[in-house]
Amino acid sequence: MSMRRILLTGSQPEQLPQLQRLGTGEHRELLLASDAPSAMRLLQLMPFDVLVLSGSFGETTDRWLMSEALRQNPKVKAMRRFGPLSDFQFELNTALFPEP
Amino acid sequence: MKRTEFIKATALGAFFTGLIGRQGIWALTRNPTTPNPMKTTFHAANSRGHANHGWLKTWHTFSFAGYYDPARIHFGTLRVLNDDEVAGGMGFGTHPHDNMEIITIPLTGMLKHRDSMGNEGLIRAGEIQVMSAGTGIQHSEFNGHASEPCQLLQIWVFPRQKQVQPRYDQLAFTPADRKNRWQQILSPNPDDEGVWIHQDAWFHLIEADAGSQHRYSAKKPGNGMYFFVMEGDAQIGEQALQRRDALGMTEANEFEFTTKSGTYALLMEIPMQL
Repeated sequence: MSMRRILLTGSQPEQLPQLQRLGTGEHRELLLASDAPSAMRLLQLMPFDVLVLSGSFGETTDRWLMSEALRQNPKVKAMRRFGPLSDFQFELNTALFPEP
Repeated sequence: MKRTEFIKATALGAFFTGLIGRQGIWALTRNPTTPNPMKTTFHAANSRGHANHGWLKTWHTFSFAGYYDPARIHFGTLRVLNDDEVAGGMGFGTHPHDNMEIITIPLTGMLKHRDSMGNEGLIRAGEIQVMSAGTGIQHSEFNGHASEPCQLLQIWVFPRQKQVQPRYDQLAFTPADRKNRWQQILSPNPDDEGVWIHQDAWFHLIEADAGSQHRYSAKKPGNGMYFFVMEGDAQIGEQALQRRDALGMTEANEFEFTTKSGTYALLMEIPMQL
């Protein structure tokens, strides 16, 4: 299985450890951007399989991040998850390893 | 996000990602030219974050993109100092900015700029471009040459005031005017020399001859000074600097440097309080 690249953006620091745990694993390359410019630059430089916005950087920036991720990879799974993350592991796994 | 929250968030982010930071070197030195102690922060060229994306080779003095070091988030209001080399015809597509003063200095080649305010054009080596992102702008920047690389410095400074009207400016400078003297290229004052930004910051270039000695006096007491050697060498107090090394200085109103082989340097005077 090829490596899947994930970008987690965490504007809410308390969510970062959870996101970190969710994102780690075999066949996953995790990049974490805790500020908008870093997320923007990373998205401009490489395609991602999954983009998770765990907090808002503002509507304009959020929208740009999602559209840039889509432009780089039309099959990207882009999500905004600002609330509790209890069900997120399943969702992320589904996004990373969809049923054939 | 508020600036203080951003700093907190990014510091925590680094902790959680488990990245090991390279520590800046803090030392209490005494400037030989003044009786006041001066605090210095040395950033060696090879301590910067580096990434090679093929078309983009980049060195980040402060945390940016995939480089993260909690000890290297900013120096006062100086948030970003990126040393980029962009391959011919390549660049960054349209993307947004807000509430940041963005200064671009091409070192070689030229950069093609286009923004949401209707500005479009080339910025060549020897020129400086400034954008006050304020309430928000979108822009793209590409190497203006199809095959030759473009080297540039991109500098971000936190503004003293948020939500200002976005603005753009571009100015060319005469190289002779920085020969063995400080050439002001940026200030807070629209009527002063160089471009201006929404911050109490002053930038100067200098091309110093081998064996020469130069002194800089801060424009505003309390400001920090960040000396970046673009080419050549310099000596400030006990600290020797080589190409792309930098020295941040605080708690001093002036400093002096000497150079053995000659130097081309950028001095950024910026407020230390966010």
